[in-house]
Amino acid sequence: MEDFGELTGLLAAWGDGDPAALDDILPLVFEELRKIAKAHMRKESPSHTLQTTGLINEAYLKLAAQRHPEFKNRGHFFAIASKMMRRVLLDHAKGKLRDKRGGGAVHVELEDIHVLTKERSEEILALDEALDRLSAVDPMKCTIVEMRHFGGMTVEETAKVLNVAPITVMRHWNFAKAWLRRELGNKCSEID
Amino acid sequence: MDKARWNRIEELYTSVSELPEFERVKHLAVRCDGDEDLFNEVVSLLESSGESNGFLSEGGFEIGLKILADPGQVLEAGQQFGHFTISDLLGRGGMGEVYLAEDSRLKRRVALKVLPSGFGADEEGIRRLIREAKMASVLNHPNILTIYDVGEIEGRNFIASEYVEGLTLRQLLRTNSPLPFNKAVQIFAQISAALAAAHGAGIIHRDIKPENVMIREDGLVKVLDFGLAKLVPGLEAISRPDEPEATNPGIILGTVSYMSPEQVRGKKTDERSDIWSLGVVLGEMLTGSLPFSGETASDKIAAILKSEPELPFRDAAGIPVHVRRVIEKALEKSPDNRYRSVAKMSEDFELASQSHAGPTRNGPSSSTDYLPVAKTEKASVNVSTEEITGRTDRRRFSAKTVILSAAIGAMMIGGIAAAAYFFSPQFSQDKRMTKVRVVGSGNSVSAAISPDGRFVAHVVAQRGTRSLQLKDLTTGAESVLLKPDPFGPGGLTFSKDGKSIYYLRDQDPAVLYRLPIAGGEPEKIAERVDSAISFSPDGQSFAFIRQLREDVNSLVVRSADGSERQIAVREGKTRFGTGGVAWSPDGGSVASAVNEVRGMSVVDIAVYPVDGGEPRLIAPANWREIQRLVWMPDGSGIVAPALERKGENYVQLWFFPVNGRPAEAVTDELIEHADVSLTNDGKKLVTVQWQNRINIWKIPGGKSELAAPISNSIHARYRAIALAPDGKIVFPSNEDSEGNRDIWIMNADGTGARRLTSKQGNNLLPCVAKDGKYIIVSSNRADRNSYHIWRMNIDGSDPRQLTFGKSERGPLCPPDPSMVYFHTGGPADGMQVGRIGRVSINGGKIEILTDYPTTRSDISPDGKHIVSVCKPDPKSPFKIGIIPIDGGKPIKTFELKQVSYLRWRPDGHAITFTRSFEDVSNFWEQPVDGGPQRQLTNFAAETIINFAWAASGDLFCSRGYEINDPIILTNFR
Repeated sequence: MEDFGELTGLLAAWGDGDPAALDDILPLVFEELRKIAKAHMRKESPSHTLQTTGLINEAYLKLAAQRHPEFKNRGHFFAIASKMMRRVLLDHAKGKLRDKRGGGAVHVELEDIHVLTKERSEEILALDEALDRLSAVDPMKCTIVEMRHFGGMTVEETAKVLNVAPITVMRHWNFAKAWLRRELGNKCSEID
Repeated sequence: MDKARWNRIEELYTSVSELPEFERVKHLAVRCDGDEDLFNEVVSLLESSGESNGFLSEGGFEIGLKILADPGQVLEAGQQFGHFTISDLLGRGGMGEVYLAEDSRLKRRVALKVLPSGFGADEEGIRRLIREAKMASVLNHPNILTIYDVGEIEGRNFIASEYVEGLTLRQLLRTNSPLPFNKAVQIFAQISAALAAAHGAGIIHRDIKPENVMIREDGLVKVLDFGLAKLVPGLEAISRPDEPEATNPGIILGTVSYMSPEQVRGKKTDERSDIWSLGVVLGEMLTGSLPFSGETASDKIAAILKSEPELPFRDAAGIPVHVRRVIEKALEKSPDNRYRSVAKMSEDFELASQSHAGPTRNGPSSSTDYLPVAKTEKASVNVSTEEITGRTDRRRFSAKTVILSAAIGAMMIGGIAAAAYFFSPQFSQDKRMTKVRVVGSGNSVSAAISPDGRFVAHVVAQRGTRSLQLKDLTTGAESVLLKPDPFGPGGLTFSKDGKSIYYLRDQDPAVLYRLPIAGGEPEKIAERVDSAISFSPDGQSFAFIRQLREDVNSLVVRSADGSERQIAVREGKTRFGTGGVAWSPDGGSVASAVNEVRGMSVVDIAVYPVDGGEPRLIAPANWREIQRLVWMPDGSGIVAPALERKGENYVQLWFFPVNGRPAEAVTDELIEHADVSLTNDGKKLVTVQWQNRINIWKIPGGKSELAAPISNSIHARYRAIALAPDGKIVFPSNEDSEGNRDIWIMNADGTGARRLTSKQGNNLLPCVAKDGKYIIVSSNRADRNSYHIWRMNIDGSDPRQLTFGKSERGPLCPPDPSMVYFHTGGPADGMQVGRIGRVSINGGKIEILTDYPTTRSDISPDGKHIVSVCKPDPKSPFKIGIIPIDGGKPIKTFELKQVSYLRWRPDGHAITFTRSFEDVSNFWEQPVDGGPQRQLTNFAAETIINFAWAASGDLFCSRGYEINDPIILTNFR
């Protein structure tokens, strides 16, 4: 993984507003983050409990600061990690629903226990669609939802990454939540 | 939506939501000024803004992590999974996948069930399946599907069983129902035999149904999934009684109809429940319909509980009344009224069927499809003997292996421990630090030494579980204190008297336990302990970090009576690190790492007076990470694994003087360190060293069975490699503490390694010009922040910068030695992303050849094409693309599942690449003229980092793995 010279270019292009560049970055980041997530299950240092910021921070330190000096902008990394999580969830949810619908008759029947339930998968799909709509009219709010919800980031962290005041993040977040709840409405069983 | 309107809605929402609830609507009505849509919009949003955040404030990240840690990947045909080679996916479900695979050790086909892994999976469910499969694996009967092997590979549990080709009874019934009497008799006899054997061994099937009965071509019946049945299969059906079965194909349909009344009630079941199910199956075979039917699951359940069985035997079949009696007795509602054993039922049925008017089992068979029972039994005996022999041999072998390795382990441990004890006083004279490995299993993730230095407790992590093991350094004896557990122990701390060990278990919240090392049960001590603890000098109290909220945590002291006192709370920017606190030897203070978690991490050590007061910060230099702390017994300072902000990339042990002097490195190796503990006298320190071992391998002709390492490094020494025309190997070294990676060269057999550059920045991904004159690298030696293409003579002399753009990396050496190709990118200098460029070997103007993302390229042996991991279409994933040497779009593309380095095979006919599953990589190749990708090697371990083909047809690669062992350091200060 020594050479990803084009990562610099991709990051810059994405930073400059080329959304397609993100598609190129995600697979690169995915594998590394996956390793870290797995490693975290094996290894206990530095912290014993699983904390979201700790983990992203660890990911950032290990991946970005050390192996890919192109990730100069920590905000980039957090945003990418958040977007990646959104995609990971979406892909998984889609796969889940596909499995459910397909379900060929296999002589070995196995209990259906997995990370996501069917209902949860549908929620994630609905949320994803709603976020796309939100992004079309107010991309900032969409980013904040991604960072908070999928990135597990606190209001302060989000504020720092986006270079805005925490109160601003709070305002966007509150509104986005209300809007998403309304949009998802009956589709989302867990709302309130 | 119109942006202005959106903004207006948001503004109204925000300002109104700050008002008391009863004033909101009034204000809103005024401010909407008759715009009813606007009013409704904002009201609906306000109604949706409940206090509870629901799923939006939690879950996404955690679920994502679970998926990341265990994406539930499906293995692919040809893929290696431990010693199994996958041939085909047979089925997939929530509890994993089933494959047809070849066991390459024993050269036999198996059905391989691979269960999900990771903390997202249903651990209890998996444990149960494994436990029951293990139970079932003791069953040795020709009519029971043989479980060959139950174990773990790459963190995933698997169950390997006999692979049976044939039809399930369900499939047979679809085309042949009711079955001819004789066939039904033969099948029933074999199912009964299987069940009788299982019941004799105390195993209940619990899920007898046509889907679980396989009929081989020769008529031999195999009952599947012994012990794999659900424990309480009725619950699901009952919870959704009104759902028509059609919407739940498989699960309920297959299950409810064969369930006994006690099963659908969720009550305890025994072998008489299997007898019921067998009765249903027998009834279905003979009549072609189910004895208890209904449109919905709940109708069926009602019938099972209340109705008499329907047994519409066709008169023409002439089935005697006795047969009906046998089935009816099996289908008695009360277990007490059923047959007490399968054997009795089978006996009755045999008697009853002999009076059958049709072709009898003793007469000439009307069917050649099925062997007579007698013959089947004979076959069974043979199979059985064979299997028993195989099994016994295997067991004996593995038992021997275990004994042997345990003996070697004990010898080594004893030897090492003796050496440590024997030599340490001597070494303390001359003040040289000594380092002794406690165990060499390579899987220890955490360790602690007892205060008297006699014991080392360590956590062994294997395939997602952790166990606690204890090593007695004086005798070399090793014992397992806690069995493997996915949430297994962490944060080990010995009690002051050394008699027990305290550990954390990843429950929610984390719980602190105490375990006597002499044996006994773990005792729960405290909840919500989020860091390793540290005892006060008198051993009566201990300190730890407790997470209060997401970004608030506290330093807590707990006394022996269970009372707790909060010494300090940190929130927001700087919180306590959770690696582990340290109580000072004078008892007066507790130290903890504090992290600035935003921005680049800034970490410090705060020493808090136990009685309150402001903390003192003692690590003013910039640290990226400070893990667990331990005080030197003389109180002079703290030792901790820490990562410097600058330079080093490895966590080292550091000594932080309490007087504020600069920290001093205790270790300085190209190895990561984790965890730290000290003996009472401060003379011995235990830490865990993590290292990557990467070596260069030669793979003659690309055949993995001939592969052999040509280097012997215990570090992650080798990464990128390049071959010179004369076969010499050029490689960059590890990054040193100042961020330099030097270029080295060595002979093709690994001898004569020489350093060519020294402290000249990071030199990456070399290539050697085809005339052998120059080594080309990408280097940041001119400006640490950007990489450019440099050339140097083959002996490292006369370095010269060839490109001066924004960023040029990954040089490629074409057959034409006058040119150099490379990757470039960066919109800042007007280029688009990820392009291939070229420049003269003497430097000069850069020529750009592609306008789409390209990376990890190689040039064909004839110099006419470039192969690249590329993305000519922004909407499609990365592909292998063959690009003309002068650039432009690819003329051919091939699928690429994982981004990999690509290398053209020396004959030019195929592109070699790597694919990894978990941490095991293998070589694959894609024929250039199309055709399927195929796997070249069968490596079962290690990750491939980089590789190159020699013109001779030998493949060279760097590959390696990670190991971690507890280490005892003496004279470290």
